[in-house]
Amino acid sequence: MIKVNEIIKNFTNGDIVTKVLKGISFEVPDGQFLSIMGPSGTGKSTLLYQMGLLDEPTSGSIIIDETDVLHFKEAEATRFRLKNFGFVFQDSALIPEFTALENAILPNLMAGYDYKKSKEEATEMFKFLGMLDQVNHLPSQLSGGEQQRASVIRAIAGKPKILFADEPTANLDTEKSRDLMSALLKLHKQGQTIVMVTHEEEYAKMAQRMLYMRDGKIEKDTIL
Amino acid sequence: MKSILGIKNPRKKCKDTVYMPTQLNNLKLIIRTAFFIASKSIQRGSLIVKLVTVFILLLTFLNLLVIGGLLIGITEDVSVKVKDSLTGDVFIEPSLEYDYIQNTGDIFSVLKGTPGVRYSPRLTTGASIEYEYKSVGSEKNPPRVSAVVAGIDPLLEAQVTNIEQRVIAGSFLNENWDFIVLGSSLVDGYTSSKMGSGSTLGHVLIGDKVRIRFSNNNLLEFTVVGIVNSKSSTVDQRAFVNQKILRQILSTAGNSYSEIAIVTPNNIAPASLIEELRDIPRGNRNDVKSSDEAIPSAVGDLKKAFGLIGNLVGATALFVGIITIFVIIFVNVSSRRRYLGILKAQGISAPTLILSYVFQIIFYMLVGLILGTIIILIFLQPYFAKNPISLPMAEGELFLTQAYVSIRVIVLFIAAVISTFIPAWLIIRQNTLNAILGR
Repeated sequence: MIKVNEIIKNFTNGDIVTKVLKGISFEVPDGQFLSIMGPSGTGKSTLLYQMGLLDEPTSGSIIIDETDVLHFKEAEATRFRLKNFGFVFQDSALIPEFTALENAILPNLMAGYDYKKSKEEATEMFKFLGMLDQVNHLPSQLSGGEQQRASVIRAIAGKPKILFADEPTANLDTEKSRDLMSALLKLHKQGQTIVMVTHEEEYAKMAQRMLYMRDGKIEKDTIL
Repeated sequence: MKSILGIKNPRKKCKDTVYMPTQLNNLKLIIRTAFFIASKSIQRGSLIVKLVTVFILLLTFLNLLVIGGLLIGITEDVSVKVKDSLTGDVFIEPSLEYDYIQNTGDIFSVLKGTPGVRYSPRLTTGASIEYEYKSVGSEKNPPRVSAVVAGIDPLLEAQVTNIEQRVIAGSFLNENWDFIVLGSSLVDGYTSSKMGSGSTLGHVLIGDKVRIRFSNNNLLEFTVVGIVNSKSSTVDQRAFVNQKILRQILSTAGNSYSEIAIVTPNNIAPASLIEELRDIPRGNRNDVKSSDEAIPSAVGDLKKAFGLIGNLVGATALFVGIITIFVIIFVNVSSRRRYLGILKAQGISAPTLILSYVFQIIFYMLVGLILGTIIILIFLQPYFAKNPISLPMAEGELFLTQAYVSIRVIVLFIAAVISTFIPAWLIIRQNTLNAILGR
């Protein structure tokens, strides 16, 4: 369970204070697929970064399984992300010198998992998302859609509690976007908690629940 | 349903919510992951970057060793020549307040009682040597030089120094009292270069006569039988005559000596003999020195100056090398800022990413060191052994001791690691989100 309480995020540039998140509160039960939607500049990604411990809110609290995660020090936050979060960004940003499989097992190595087991489990993930033939391909040998799916596998290879996806379809064409969404839905069916930010209504509506944001506030909270 | 994600219960709690691995375990994980990243980057990274990095490290390594090694080779050769042609392993001179070595009887007893020790006691004096004094008129001064005249026992000297082998024209002294061997710096025409700034006697030929005016105004004529060129300035500015005649001219007692050169056998350390010679009665009135201590001050200064030049050249090379490495790593890490940010977001810690760069530079440095060692051993050392840098006072070969090489390798290692660590740390420590968003 993720509890987001009264999150405020201001950006300060000299004397100018920009209020991006204006006291947002909501809860995400375990296993839910939540999409956050809204026009550009409304604070969707900023909210995701606060939840993913990539940024610190100006005030408020985020409780994950009864732990106030905003009190973590840098090293603790890194460790927490490693063990519990997976991230998918707009572009895959796979390490160019690593094969798709090597990219996927890297977080698991850091988490202390056995190399052989990490490899086996990551290979299972590739199989699950229909990329078994591409496990040993370098990112340059993969299409844009395959790269993004590989980045999803990297994000879930460590079996994280929550998968954060920030505009994962932004750089993909319609067909590849649908492929990616079907991959996310497949994961959700397996019990994966997913928080996805998107500005595309078609994909937002594929989730279980949709938060519609405007001007730094939640305007609508819809169960789909 | 079998879950691929291992999520049988979606309500599972966070893993290790507040768990932090022990420092040792964390270190192991960091090293393992960093090594994995480094090995893949080395295996599949840009060939140009790899080649340039290795090349820079190779050049820095060679610069650190070769220039300094050649300069040390020259100064070592100077020292060796002084030792072989003048001082031997141990050198005895009277201390400043005495004209001659004190208590020579006890000294010779010690030397004779030490098996394998060879020694050559010498009598020296300052004098003026003249040439062509018969052919120039009384209104004109003949060519004249001031020099140290050394009275030696030719047989003993031949056992201690290599002067006999360094005769480049004519022959060495024998028992004849009126023969003289001149150092090459006192004459012209026997060597391509000449040390010292003093005047010479001119083109003296073997068999020519020279005249020596001693400090007590005695004047004696000698026949030049040989010219010696040892490349040691002290020796090459001397004239050698038979000790018996010099003792007669100076009217000195039979046990008066100005210097004793001693060579010790391999099984006797010079230091122990020096200690023994210092311990004899009135031993403190003599200056008992090792060959290194007996090196003329000018040679000592030359060694220091060459050492300093070598270190300066090495330091400059090292500085240029580490700046270049710094720039390469900085550009490399900067261009990967986004990847590194995403890895940090995934939980790969900053120390892991920094260490992966350090591992890479260690690998490139090892490659550079191996290539550098091959170049030195296969090309440079044999080349300089065959074609030494010929200077008036020495012939410079590439002289590399284990200590000299080890220190420079360690310095290069530390410098390379620091010049990698700093740019990697500067970039990687930046805010993760800024790195991901390219801000």
